[in-house]
Amino acid sequence: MSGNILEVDDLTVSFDTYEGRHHVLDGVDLTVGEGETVALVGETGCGKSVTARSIMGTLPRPPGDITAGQIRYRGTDLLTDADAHERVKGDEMSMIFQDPMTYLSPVYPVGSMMADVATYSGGKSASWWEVLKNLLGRRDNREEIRERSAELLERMRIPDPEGTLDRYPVELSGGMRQRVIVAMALINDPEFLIADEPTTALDVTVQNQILDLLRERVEERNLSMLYITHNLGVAREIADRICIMYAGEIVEVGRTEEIFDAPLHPYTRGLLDSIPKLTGFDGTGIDGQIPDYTDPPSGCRFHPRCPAAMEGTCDVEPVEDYQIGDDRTVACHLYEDGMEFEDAAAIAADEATYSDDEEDTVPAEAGTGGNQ
Amino acid sequence: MSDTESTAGDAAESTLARRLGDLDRIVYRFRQNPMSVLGLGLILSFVFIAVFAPWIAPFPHDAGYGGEPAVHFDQKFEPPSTEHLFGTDQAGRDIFSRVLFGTRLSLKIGVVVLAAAVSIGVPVGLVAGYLGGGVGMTLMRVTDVFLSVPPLVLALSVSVALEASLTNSMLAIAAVWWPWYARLTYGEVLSVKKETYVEASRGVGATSTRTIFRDILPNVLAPITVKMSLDMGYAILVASALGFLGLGAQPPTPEWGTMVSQGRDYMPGQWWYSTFPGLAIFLIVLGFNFLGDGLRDIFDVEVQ
Amino acid sequence: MSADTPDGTELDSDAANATADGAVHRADEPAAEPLVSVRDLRKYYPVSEGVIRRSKSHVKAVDGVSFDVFPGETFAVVGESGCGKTTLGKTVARLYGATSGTIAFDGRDVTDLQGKELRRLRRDVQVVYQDPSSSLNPRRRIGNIVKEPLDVHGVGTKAERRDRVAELLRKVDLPVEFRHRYPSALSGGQKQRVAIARALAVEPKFVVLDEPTSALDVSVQAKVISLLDDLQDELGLTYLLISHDLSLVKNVADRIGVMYLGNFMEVADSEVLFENPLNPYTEQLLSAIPVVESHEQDLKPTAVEVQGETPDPQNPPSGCPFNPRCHRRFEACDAVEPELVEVEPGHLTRCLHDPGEKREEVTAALPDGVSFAERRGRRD
Repeated sequence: MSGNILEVDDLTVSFDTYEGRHHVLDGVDLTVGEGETVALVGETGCGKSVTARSIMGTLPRPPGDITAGQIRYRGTDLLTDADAHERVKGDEMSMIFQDPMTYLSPVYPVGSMMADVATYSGGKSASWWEVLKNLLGRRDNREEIRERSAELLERMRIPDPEGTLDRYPVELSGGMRQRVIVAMALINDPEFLIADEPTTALDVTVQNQILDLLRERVEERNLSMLYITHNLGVAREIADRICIMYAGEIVEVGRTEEIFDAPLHPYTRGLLDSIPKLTGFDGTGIDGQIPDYTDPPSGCRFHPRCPAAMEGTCDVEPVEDYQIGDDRTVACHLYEDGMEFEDAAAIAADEATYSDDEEDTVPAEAGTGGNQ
Repeated sequence: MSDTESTAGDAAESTLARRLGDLDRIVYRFRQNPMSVLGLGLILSFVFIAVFAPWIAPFPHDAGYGGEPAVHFDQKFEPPSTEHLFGTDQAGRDIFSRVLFGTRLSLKIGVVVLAAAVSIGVPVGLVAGYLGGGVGMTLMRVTDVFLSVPPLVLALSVSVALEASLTNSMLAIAAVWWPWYARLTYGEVLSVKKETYVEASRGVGATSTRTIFRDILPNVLAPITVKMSLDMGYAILVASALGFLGLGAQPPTPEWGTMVSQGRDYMPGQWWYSTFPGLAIFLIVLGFNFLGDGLRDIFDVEVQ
Repeated sequence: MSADTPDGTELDSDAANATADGAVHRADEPAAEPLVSVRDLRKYYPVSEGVIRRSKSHVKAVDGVSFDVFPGETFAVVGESGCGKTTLGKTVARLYGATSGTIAFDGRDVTDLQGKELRRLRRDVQVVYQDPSSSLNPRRRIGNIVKEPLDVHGVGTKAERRDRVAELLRKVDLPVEFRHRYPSALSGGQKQRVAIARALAVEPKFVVLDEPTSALDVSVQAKVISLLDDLQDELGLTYLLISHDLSLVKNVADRIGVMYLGNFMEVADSEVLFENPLNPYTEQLLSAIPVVESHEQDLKPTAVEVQGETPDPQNPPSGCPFNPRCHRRFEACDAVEPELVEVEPGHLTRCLHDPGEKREEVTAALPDGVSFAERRGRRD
């Protein structure tokens, strides 16, 4: 293991809008090791997109404002070095997004778009003459790029790769388009892949095919990947490590299987409980809703919704990342830094639960908006 | 948890507070765009002028306030001075006062033309879009016919056929303006029609009329309103053009376009004659453009 | 009861005989009158081609579907995108007109209702849509949205309607104060609650739930599902639940119909479908479920590799619509179109491995020397 390819350190981001200043990210810490796939899991509004965009350098600022933190790619802080950020973004990082139809131009055939990515990413600037030549179809090393594209499409298990190069996105099915996007992301041999909910819009069966594909490519080229999703089941299929995010904070990080077997943070437990399973569904969900970012809760941001919240502690003291055992980090006052895993698991079983008999029927106040 | 409002008074009060809250947010968005604030400022100034012209203008009678415009041949063609800010015309009338009063005419033109265009065009678009089928097609083809005639040409023809006057020119412009609203509304209705809440309305059992007025119309108003604001400027411009060609308002009515036209003969010597009314046209059109852009920005964000 | 009976055999009792042909009901319950009875329902969309715009072909969104929904139960229709489940739900709710077939509600034929009568039906049949952000008019206040059904049907006085709105909001666990807000001020889960409140306003008996939680976050889904469950018990509602989430459906539905390209491939009681899926498509669907608990893995059938993607509904494959992707296909599958066959009481499948009356056709389609018995139940 040659260390971490990406290190996000204490990333703090705010947004200025009519309602005021939204303190969206509150010191996010995230690492992706070389050759590792890390899933960033969180629900709507938790800030995972903001995190992803900060890494990719596509955060609109203003109104966005990175007030603290570093994003180190192979040691270089991208936030202070804009040139490096551009270079890394073009050469070494690649992104896959959620909705293929919005990221594929409907007026160009697939092959032409793949050629564009192959030619222009890496931040090379193109002269007008070059652009004109390309529009007219006379690209340099056209043949070579076309071959590479077709080969990639074949690796994506697209039937008839040559023919697909000449088709328009609208002629392809959703699953096919997403494969094209994946191919485009891989065409320049990136080292680091950021996938932002790429399978959310797809059927379960197609989703699995895409996940298999990604897994194969990642293994084959020893890619590092940051996979963003709200779906824990998907995270389980694809990730080596999972980071659970809530309201702009990373609340738990651990190896995939371990997180599912023994979640420590009450939010993680709540999420897992809320998912309908083949084994049964107690589902009470999690009371309350995500906080108002213009006035986030003091201390731990989850405390208003937490069944294990301890008055005097959770609402006052900000949380830090506590190291549990070898491989787990939790940001929760139930635990202590350096605790043994078994002890932590015992605490979790006792405290961090959402048992049915605790379900209160007192409706929340009008001000907070009641239940979700 | 709060219960139903206990008194009607409470209800009214919180409604007011809510409405003010909405307004506050709108103002905030608007303020973000300096151009639109400028536009609003310009338009408000013009409105103010239009309303208070009789009291602002130093020589209201020159503009025809209270009867036929006065003439003072002894003062003709005086250049701009402290007494006559914009100089005088060939009949010695104070151009400044006439420009001020011209504001009333211009705004009136804009409002009348647009009101007429919208009251024909929007219903046509609504019906055509919602009903679709044969009715929709027929209506839109009729609209196309009107669209295919160049506006100025139609306006000219109308003016020639009827007597050349301000009223007739307004009619002519309205006749060529409404199809754009029909078309815009039609397009918007088609896209709103597909929205789930329209289907939900039907699912609940609402009649077509109800759906059109409560669900579709409020959601197509935004682009229509923006267009109206932008169009105000253009309607005034077209009326001025007609005036310039002698087919709209006739002298001695202090309509800006007419004044610019008359001043043509005296350029460049008595440059002030055409310049100031021309400047007024420029400013009011600019103002409406900026305002329209600002409105578009507000509407885009508000719906979120 | 042999395995080869044609679809829709009634089991017993005169009450069952009195219902429309082909009543299919729970195996463990005595035959009750279905609340909703759908027979051979088809919804085709013409595809216009050519300059003259004459329709040359059709998209067969719903292609001959029959089923019953009994009072108080939850019948789930599951399938992937493009299978027609949403169209089915909305056609049954009479949002669309059927191309052919019948829909019976509470004993009466409602297939061709129009105007006033159709509006009257809307008091009994309501729909909750998938995306709460688009099913609520963004320019109307919540109170008015929920009040609309009451206005439309002229229920009660103005004051009574206002009270009813408050009552409805309370029922869905929303603060009554929300009646003055616009949808944009609410979260996804809250909006969906508003949609539910609206659906319940006129006290319907039957609610079509079109993927009611797909657009919501996981922690919110659970709450909305539990709300729907409580309301069903409290108000005696019957649900037609449309979903693509098999884990959810397993926990929530009484009976499930698996749909593919416009028709059911399998229909069974909830537990039965998961314990003993008969149709290969069901097998593939079940094996594709993402699971979060290790125990869950045991409850999935042996992992079957999913092949290909749903074909273009305009160009369905010949024979069995699933055959190009099927891991159990054999020679007859692209030649003979299977029918829905009741293999066990209450468990139907549409697959040539259980050919029903088409057994001879299947045998004829096999190469010489190969018997049906050799091919039956085969897995590739």
